[in-house]
Amino acid sequence: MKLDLPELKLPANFPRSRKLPPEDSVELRAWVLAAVLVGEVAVLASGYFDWATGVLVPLLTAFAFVVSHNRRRENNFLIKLMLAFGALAVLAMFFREVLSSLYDTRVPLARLFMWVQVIHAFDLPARKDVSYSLVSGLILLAVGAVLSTSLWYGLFVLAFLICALGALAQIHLSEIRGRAGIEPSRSRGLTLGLVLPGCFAVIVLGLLCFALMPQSQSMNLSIMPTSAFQNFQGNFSGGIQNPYYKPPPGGDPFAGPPQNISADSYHGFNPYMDLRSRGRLSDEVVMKVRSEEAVPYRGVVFDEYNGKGWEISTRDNAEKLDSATAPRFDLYAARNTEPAQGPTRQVAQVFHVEKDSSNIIFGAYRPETVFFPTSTIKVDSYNSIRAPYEIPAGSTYSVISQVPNASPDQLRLAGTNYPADVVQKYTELPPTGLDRTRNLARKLTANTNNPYDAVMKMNEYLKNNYPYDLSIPP
Amino acid sequence: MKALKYIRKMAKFIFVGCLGVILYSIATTSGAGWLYVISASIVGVILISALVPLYNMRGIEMIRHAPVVGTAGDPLSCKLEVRNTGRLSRYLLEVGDNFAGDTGGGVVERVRRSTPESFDYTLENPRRGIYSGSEVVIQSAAPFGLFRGKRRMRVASNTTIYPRTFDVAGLPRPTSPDAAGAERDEASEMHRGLGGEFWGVREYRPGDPARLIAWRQSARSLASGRLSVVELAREMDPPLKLALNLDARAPAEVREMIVSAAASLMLRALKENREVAADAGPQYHDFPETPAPAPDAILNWCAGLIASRPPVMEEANIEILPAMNYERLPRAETVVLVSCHEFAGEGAWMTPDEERALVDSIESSGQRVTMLGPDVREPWRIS
Repeated sequence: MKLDLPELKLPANFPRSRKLPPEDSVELRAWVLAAVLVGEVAVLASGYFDWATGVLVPLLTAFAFVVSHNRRRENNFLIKLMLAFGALAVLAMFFREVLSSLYDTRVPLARLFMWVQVIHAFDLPARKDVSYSLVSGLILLAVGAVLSTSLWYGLFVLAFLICALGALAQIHLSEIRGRAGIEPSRSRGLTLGLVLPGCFAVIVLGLLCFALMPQSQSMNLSIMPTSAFQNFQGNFSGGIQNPYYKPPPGGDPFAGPPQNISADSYHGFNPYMDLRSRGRLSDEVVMKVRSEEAVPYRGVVFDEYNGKGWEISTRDNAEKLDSATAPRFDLYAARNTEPAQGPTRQVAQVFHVEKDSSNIIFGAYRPETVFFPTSTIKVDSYNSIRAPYEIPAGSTYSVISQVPNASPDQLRLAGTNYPADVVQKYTELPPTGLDRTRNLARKLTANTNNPYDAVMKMNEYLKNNYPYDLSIPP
Repeated sequence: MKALKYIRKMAKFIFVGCLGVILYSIATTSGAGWLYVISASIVGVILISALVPLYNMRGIEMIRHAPVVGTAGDPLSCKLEVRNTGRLSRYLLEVGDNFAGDTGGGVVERVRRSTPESFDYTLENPRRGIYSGSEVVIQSAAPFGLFRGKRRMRVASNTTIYPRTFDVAGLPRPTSPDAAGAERDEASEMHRGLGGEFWGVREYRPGDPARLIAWRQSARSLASGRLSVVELAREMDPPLKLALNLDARAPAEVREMIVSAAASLMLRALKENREVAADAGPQYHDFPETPAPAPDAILNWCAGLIASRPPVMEEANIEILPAMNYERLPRAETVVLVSCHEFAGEGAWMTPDEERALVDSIESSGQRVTMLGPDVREPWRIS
């Protein structure tokens, strides 16, 4: 039995693919390779990738460019077949990774882009293919820009700009040589005469455009980045855990001598804050925050002073929040927290933890939605949030807050009719021994007629006269 | 179609612009500040790409070095010299030369101030004509190829492209039976030439041999600065008189073939030391003077022929014309018909059958007819 397949006849005017002439210019390929490598290194420098990826991707890309140049006139059927399988493998790797991190697909996407770039680089016979590689390099640079939290990233942008402009000039040269039927040869004075001045002009004009360009700091609030999900099975207390400070012997930190301040972690990121502790913090970056605006971030609230330091009155008591849509947690579900008051504005923040840190989840007051890669968090009555584990370096989480938006005038007119529990909690003073403080307070607030102005006066006085210093003697 | 062409022309700009817009929109939603920098850089690239081509073509001058003469259809090697009178070097210039009916060109990667660059190119198929210069199109899309600037300038250079000629086996003899019988005796007669008998005195023309200058006569007209030469006579075949019908309705290729055939016949006649004369219509009364125009003079005359009204040359021996409908049949002894449909297919001219009918009707009146198509087997024989 013979199976006859119908012959497929295309209409005469149907556009057929025609084989593009191979690109012979080594100079053009070198410029594009340089641009692609800069894009790859820009992504790899974000710190989200292991060393094997960091070494393999650039090396394989360079190797692939050499192979594709040497085999530009060949059919390369076998290579294309292998590349197709390679692309499928990369896609499978992408899906596996993305399923474990649905709320932050940036890193899996970046990895996918990089490996696709490597695969694509093995088959660049024509100028058009090489041009696509350049576009791919730009995409990698853009991915790196999203992942980057450092100003040093500007160096990558600059390097890419030089390489990409060199590549564009070479592409154009190759085009006009092709039209004129001229064989490729080494270009004369193009880099010094055209590319570098062009690059300088682009930078100047680019900076001007950057200054004039409307720049919204808002973020897409439907999906906020988080790092890989960590399911915590145990029952955590809700207390603060800090890997840099040992629990005090006997449980009372104020019973014995104070602990020294660890250079890598602020001593206030603890269940207590011992004002007797001394030491110096290092200059190492422990956390980077990308925020829609500059706002203070709340970590822990201490509300009890014991003469030696501050403590949290509620101790480890905090409300547990489970999320069916983890890693998203909506804090309006918490029942025992401070109620929201007055007008607010929404501020989104993304926190990148650079060093191992305590289990405090920072966020501008008042946090509304938290994207944290676990199934359970806890929140105390002051809306301080705790993770079930000490947050390791490399973690990312996001917080969307409703920041109080009351104007100074609104605060001045707020009055002094405070609720009884607020009066009890915040106006308790020792009965004696505060004459000097009282006199100073009266002096500072002499010309004020409302609590807001009085607080601002005292705030100003403290700022001007008591510089923040952890190294003062006890 | 025009819109598609325009889009294709702007494809690179559209692509880069879209990339910039996409990155900008990602920046606005992700809050990644570096994406703004990248988008702004893309805008910078677009602006530079739009501005530089305009500057790049300013202060450019061209000089063409082309041969003084060439032959239609034979490759013509030319050279264009590009000068930069501006302050800064110019880069990546594409030069296209629409010269002698063909287009050539090249690429100049860099032209420094006061250091001219030149490039050679070949016009593969120059067309017959007398050229005093032509338009050179200079284009630049430097530095990044997103936008293209174009400038046209006229570049002078004198070149004459002679018509293509082919070997002719022999010229037709008179058809009269008497003449055929006593061909030499009756058809030959005394004509102005370079023989030994005195014919007369005339004014000197360039090309006349110095030995023929009539010094005494010239001395008399010394005040006017004119030289006189002695004209001698000799026995020659009767002059070859050609009528060329360069009908504007005929395809251009057919007119070219008519000129080629005429030039070939005239060169053959000169080889046989026969006088030649030709008429190509009312515009062309400047045929080189007989008795012995130089071959170059004839080719020059042929080079300048363009479409015109039919000639009125009652005494023409040979009439060359496109095969088309005419009010009256040609009267020359020999008629060369150039087939239009063989050159240009079907059109407002005769079909093959009509051509055959025309040939028959001319032959029936006792004239000789030769059909000529694009393929000429050399040496060409007129039947």
